[in-house]
Amino acid sequence: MLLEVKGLSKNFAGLRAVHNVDFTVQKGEILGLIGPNGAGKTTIFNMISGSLKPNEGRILFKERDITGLSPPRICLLGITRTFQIVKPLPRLTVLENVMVGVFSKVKDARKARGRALEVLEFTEQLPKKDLVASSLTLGEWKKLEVSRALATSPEILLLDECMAGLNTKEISDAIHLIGKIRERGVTIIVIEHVMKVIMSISDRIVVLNHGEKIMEGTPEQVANDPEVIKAYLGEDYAKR
Amino acid sequence: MRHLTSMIRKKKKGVLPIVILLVILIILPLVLKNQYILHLIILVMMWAALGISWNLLGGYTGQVSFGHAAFFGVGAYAACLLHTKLGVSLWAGFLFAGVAGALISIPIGAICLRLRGPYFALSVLALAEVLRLITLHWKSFTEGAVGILLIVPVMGEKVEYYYLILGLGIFIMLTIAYILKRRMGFYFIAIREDEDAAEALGIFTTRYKLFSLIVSAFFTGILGSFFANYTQFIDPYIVFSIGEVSIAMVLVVVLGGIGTFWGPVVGALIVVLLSEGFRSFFAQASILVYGALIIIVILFLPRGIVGSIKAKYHLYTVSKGE
Amino acid sequence: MDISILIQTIVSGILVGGLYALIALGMTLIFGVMRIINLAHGEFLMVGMYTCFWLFKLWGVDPYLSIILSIPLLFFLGSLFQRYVILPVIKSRAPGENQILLTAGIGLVLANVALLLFSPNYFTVLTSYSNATFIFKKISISLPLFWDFLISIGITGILYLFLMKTDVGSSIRAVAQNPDAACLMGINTDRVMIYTFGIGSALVGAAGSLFMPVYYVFPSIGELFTLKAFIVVVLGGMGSAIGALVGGLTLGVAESIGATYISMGLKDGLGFAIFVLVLIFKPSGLVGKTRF
Repeated sequence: MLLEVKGLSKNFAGLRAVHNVDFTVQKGEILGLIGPNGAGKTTIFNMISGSLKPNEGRILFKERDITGLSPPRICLLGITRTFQIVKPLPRLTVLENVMVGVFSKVKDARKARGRALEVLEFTEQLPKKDLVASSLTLGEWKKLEVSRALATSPEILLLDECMAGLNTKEISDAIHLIGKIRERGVTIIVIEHVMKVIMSISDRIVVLNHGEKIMEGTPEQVANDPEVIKAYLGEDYAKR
Repeated sequence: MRHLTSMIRKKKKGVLPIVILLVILIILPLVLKNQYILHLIILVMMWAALGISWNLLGGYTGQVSFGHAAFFGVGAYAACLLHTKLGVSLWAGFLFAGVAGALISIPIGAICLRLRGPYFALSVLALAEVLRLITLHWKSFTEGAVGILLIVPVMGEKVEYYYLILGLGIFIMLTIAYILKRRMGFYFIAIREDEDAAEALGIFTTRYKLFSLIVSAFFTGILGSFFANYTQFIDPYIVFSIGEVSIAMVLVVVLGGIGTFWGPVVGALIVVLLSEGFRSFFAQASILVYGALIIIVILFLPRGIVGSIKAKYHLYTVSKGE
Repeated sequence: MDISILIQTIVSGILVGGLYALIALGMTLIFGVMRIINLAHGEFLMVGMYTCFWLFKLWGVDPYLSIILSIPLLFFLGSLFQRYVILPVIKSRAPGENQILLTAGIGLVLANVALLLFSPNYFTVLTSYSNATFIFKKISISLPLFWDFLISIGITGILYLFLMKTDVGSSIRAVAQNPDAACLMGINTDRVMIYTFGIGSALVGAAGSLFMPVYYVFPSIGELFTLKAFIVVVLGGMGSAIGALVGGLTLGVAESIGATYISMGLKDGLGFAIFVLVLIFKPSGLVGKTRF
């Protein structure tokens, strides 16, 4: 069990954003985190990655309690997140952006550059390496988020709605990339709204609604669960 | 040296003009005997060095400071006091001045750099004011408003000061260029671009902001002691001045191009020439000119001169300056 | 420890503090709405003070009457700067430091124009009541300071009501909370920012008139009071009107205690010390981020 979340809760001035959520993540799996907007998914990511401190609950990574540690500390320990609203470093090139990620584990600048090139080759973004980040399209930004996060050599990658706004081709490229990342041995937790995607790539899925976990299981189990359908899926899944 | 020649051999774009400039600067005093022009060039070099030091923190790390006079003044006083009270040589004084600047910067950095918003920028201003007040009132130690007069200067001829500041300037530039190529430089820029993203990538932002501040303050302190040695007289109003030191530094960088490598040099050239020009006509007006320049630059040329040129013709990257 | 001296000290501090609060109120309002620290704030105070001085010197206008003129004058001046100088920079989405720097430039220009026009000499306004005091329960209270305090509180109260009860006030608060959302709701954010800067300047202009009877004006007074205003704003909490009040009173009392028990020259020291403590332990200010 690589990551364990126990009794996690977060309130914002009276609003219960997340309430008593438990789940675990096994090494090498892809865990999907779904739920309607406002269900608390990104809040959970924020708590795991350290940007928010939970009001209650514990987060254990490789049996070690990481609850409340700072974001840089958690990244260095091996959990890296991407942002739902992308955060490129606008005036740096794609390569330099990725190098910043590499520097978390590699100190030497020349070695870092080499490693960054490897990462860009892996994510198939190498042709764009010298473009300034602010000049990229949305799809390229999303890919840069992933490249940069991968550059930190994480054990767990938290992908926050990396498909939002992508067209069909970009989505299937992204699915392919996620598969490659998993083959590399990286454990992945994905927040996604695009149902087709999350159903096809996840090994297991955790479903949230109004801050609480309402179901957990394989994609098939989740798709057929009446509670989930009531809260969320319904026609959406049938349409896709 | 070997790096330099290999760069020239590889015909790396942009190195040749720098080498030419360097040669000109080195030869100039041997050819030019006009003391006033030498004085102007010394001023330009000093302000360029000050601007570059400020730029590391303000331009590359994104932490703007309106109170760098704190470090400048502390450096000036440290060097002078060590000399007059303890007989420390003015050469060693340079080093101590830098250390003094760096030491003063640590508490203010530790307190304010953790915070987001204008806190740091203005708290340094407050620090400069506090230091000015302390220096003013602690007459027994600092001579207060009377100031300190250096009777035996460290050097005799203006020419010697020229080479001293040239050497200092080159040293500071090279150090900063070196930092910018390494991990620390990348981290500074990442913090400037997006602090949240930087943290998510494993950067302890407060720590690195503090490093940037310490280096910047160190160099500023050294330059403060250079100033003291060159003008041979300091007092609290001169070295801790908000308008003539703190804001002047910011003007030099913003005019030249904040966050660019050569911007401060260009800015220093223009600011020194303009203020000397006004000084001849209209002594009071030089600060007025500073203020008006700031407004004009920010309204019409926010990227500064070098920055605007770069934006038009090059990619705006972090790569070391052209 | 003589209790009566302590009480006297605290009372003087509170009275001055009210004035500091009024001075800082404009700065915190501007910050709350536009997220800019106006480094020219002290210079606007200076303009208010010079206005009061010249009205008195040329036409014998009593400082308390001159408020009637300095408020609209400073409102106009502030709005002008906001409309033609500051707003373009905000709209070009320049980084925050540029905006602060811009106000610093404005401050420098104002201070040095004053220097050129009025010379570096200190000017004061001496009225019949400048040195008047009255005794209340064995405490000597300076009359002009007392009036200043009451008027400051009054103006603060009026501002508060204005922000809470009027439509313009609500739009100001809306822009402070979320400029984009406010814009989407049909609020003309540009105009709101112009009004806000105008009001902020008017407040400090009024403070200038109140200040003249008890202090003196000179061109560099701006630097000193911009810093003081910033300290008050940090003490109280950026963007909070109540905070400006609390911060102002705190600074006033701290300076007063410092002057009485430490020394006149170092009276600012206690204020700075509290400033540093707040930054370390409660950077959001003693009152924190309450919405106005």
